[in-house]
Amino acid sequence: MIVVNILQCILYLILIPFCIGISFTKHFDEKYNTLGNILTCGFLSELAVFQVLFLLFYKLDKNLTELTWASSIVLIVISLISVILGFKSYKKIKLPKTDLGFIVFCLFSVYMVVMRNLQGVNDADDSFVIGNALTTLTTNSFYKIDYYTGKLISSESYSRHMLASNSIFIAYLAKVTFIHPTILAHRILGSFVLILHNALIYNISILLFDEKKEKYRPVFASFVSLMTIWDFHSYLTDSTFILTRAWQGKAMFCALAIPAAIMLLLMMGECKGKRIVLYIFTAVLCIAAVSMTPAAIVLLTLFMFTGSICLAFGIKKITVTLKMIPSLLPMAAFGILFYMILK
Amino acid sequence: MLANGLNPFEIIKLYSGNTTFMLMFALSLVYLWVFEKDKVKKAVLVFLSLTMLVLFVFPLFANFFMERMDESGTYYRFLWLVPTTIVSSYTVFHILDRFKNRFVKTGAFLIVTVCIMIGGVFMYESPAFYDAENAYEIPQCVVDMCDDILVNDREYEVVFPDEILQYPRLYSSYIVLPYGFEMLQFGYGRNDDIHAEMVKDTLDVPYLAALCEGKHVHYIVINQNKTLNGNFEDYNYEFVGEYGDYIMYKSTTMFFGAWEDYDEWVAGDEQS
Repeated sequence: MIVVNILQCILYLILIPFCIGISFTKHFDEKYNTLGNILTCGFLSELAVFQVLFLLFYKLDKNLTELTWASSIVLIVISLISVILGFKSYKKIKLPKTDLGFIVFCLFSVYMVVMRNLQGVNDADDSFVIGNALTTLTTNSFYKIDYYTGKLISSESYSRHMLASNSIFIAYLAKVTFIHPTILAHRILGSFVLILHNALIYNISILLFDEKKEKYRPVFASFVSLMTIWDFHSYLTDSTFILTRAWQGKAMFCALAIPAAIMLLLMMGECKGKRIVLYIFTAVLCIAAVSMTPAAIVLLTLFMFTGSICLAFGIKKITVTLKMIPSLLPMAAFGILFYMILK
Repeated sequence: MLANGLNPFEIIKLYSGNTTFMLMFALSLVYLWVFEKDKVKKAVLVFLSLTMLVLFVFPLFANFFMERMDESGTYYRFLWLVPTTIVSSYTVFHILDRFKNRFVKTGAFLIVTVCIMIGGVFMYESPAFYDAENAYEIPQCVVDMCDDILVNDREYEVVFPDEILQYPRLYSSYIVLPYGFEMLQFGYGRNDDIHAEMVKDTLDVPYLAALCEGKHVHYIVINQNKTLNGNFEDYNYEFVGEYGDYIMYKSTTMFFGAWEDYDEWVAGDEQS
């Protein structure tokens, strides 16, 4: 059974993200076609696809089994199309130089993952995130049973969470990998998100330090990890969220969505060729971010829009902001949906 | 979640703790504003960060979020949009790059690293962490209790003390609670009579047992530190076992079997 568990984890957390991610990164400049970038883009796309399907299936009053079949089929089909279309324009994946700095950076990443697995976290939000995942998995229905008590839902208190499919995604992964949602979230998804976060930081280092300053990249990434580990100034910091509860939507927003947004803005500024893929990916990121937390509707929209204005001001190109507007349209749709749900 | 009524500056202070990293970030912004030549990096790292900070403290904006959108408890999340660690780290390497001597550069880097470790607060010493006792990363005593409770594949209603209330439903959704963690978090159902009794230092056992029986509670878990005003054994609950700091009692009158055996149990109960 454990072999099946591992193979399913590899399929849903590595193979599918890899295949989907390649369809984005093949359009990036060659130096950004890294393994970390491919996996991150792919995983965010996987979240975005799941988010759209979940909302559709919730509206149609379908159950988790139907959503699982549909999501798996859609994700595998997208992966296959991506691989077939991407095969011709296959670009060599850029691997980082394995020097001492990179080894230190890898050790920091391993340390984070090991600590994630050695230490449990006394965090109340799990009773919603994982409680909801386990309840969904057991009852095969969405938001019918109160995840806090196990009784029939009698209030609308769940509706503010409804838009974010994070906990349903955990239930989905648990269903396809046959792993208990609590183990899956705490051990596998938590570690996976930490690795992707570090990969994103490394990608940002590639953007911040050009070929002449290449030697700084791994040291910079290690230094960011060091600051993250020593950033327990309060329970509120992004670093605290990333290291204590990486599987929860809010922490995934800090660990993946914000660094990905910074990476995209830097790429939009530096990219000499076609930027259209970056704007398409921004739209995907927006959908994925809402799947993490509904707060992303306001936070990420503001961040990307303000970022595009700052960029337009910096490089004297107003088109950056104008092109950003259509990319943020999914957020407008989610905003209207959120307003309707709360109303 | 933060308390209501805090102004943005108070939130920044609470967010940044001893303010070492925030100070480093502020100095980094000034440095990069002056010395960063690359327009893209300056726009994304400096202008965007500053705009986010200004928006955060801008009264109209803050007021709109905290009052109109009722987000005063989570307004601190806006500070996540300020990439403090990336900006500060980039500044460190921007400065180090100015040193031509390799030894001076390495020495300066080591000094900064030590300063970060002294000025920062180590995450893994946080009281939020505890040594994981099992793959679920929930207390082993809760796992043991749940294993003993779940004698059949059906739901059982259990009363847990507040300090472990969040864990049972992370282990099995067949554990049903008369009140859940939402009560502690959001205050829903604060008037729950069982909870009101469970939080007292001295438990009125006859009253608590009667309440639990009335709500079809199969098991009651009590913290051993509580003083009991009576014996559960005298009120239709029997001792099951000790689990770390907790004692579990089981109803002697309720049905624990599989649902398909329920009619048989009712018939037997009526006969006796």
